[in-house]
Amino acid sequence: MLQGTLDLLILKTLAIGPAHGHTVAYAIEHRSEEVLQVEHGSLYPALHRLEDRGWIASFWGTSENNRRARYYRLTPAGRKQLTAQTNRWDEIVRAVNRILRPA
Amino acid sequence: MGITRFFRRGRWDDERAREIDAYLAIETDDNIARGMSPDAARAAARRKLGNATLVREEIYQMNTVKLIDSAWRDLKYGARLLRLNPAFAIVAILSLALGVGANTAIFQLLDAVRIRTLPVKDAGELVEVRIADPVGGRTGQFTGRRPSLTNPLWEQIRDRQQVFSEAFAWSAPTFDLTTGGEARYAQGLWVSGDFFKGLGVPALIGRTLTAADDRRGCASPPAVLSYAFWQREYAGSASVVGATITLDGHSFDIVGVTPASFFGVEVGRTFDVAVPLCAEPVSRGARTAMDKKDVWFLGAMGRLKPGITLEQARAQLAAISPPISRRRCPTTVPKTRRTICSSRLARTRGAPASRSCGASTSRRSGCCSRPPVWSC
Repeated sequence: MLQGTLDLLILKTLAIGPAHGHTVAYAIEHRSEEVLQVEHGSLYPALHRLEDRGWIASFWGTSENNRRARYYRLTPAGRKQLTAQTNRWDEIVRAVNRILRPA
Repeated sequence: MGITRFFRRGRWDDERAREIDAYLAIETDDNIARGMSPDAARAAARRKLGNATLVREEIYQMNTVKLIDSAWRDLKYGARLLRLNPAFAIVAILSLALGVGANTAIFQLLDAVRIRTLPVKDAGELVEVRIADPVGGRTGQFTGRRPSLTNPLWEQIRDRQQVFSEAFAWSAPTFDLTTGGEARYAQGLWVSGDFFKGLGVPALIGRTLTAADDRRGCASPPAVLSYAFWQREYAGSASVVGATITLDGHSFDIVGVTPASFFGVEVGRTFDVAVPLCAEPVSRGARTAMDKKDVWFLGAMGRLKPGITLEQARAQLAAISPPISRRRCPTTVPKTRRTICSSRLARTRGAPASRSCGASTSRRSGCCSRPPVWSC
């Protein structure tokens, strides 16, 4: 996976609603139609980093199958960051495409 | 990353461990729901997660300040090693302790010798008077620890100077205390009349020496004891005033004792008994240096009159210097080398009045490093 894209994907996933790590990992895999395979372990340092920057916040909750799990939700700062990073991503994709498929 | 999180990184790590456990539990549940056996489900969950320890370590690293963390670990490692080698540890700790102790002792010595101030009134007003170029310029006999002046030179300076409220000279001989038999020595002081007045040292009991005591050819000179000597030799008895003391076989009347804080004018040295300078012939007899132009044995100081600066003092000494030097300098001294200066004892650093370097031989060069002004 491209450097930095994991953060963007996590933010996007959490924009839908609070979720715990397990859900985030499966959501990314599922919504990319199994193309993007996240190593689930690598998700946790990324979550920690995002929380550190104040883009997401965490709390303990109960999962669908009655397990204690740490939930994450997007903060207002995270929402702004998501918009900024999405725009940046679009720019990069357009730029790369211009090079790969010149008109 | 906040510093609070650094100190709570252990708790943080526990939290992450629980979080990862939660992941494994949920994933195992899901795997069982997909039809796996519990063991296979748990193993599959672990595979899916990857290396849990690595994940926790990565987060732990994010929370830590590397330098503090590794320093702390080094410390713990060091303590463990010391415990493993008790003999080595004891030797190391002992040598450290000795080193610290030795350093402390050396500093205390330095403090006593170089840093302490003269125990006198307003030491900042005191200046030393001496030949400015003491090395190579003078010939003759040099005795004592501060052979700055000859007595003829000193007497001329005393009588002609107008910049000092008091000028005084001293020399530090060794006196023999006994009347016969095995010699027993005391640290002596020959002091000129204004010595105690100039230093502003009062008597603890009795009186100190005055200008009236220091007359050429004094027949029965008095003596003043230091506090330490008084305690040691007379057990602090008040009846010591009026008693006599034998110095070099001659009897002196004891007239007083100086305060405990006064140790003389040489930092790092002490004196036992002070007598007037006019008693020098009493001890030296025919070898007296009172009129010798080439026996250098006196140190001299002056207390600047109020409002007189060091520069003014130098100028005045320079003005009176030619007539003195023509008559009093030994003819063997080359004209170009005959220079005398008055130098401030106090270091100007900090409050001048509270710091004086005294006549310590160990810092002589620092006291009079300015160019000489008085040529003779």
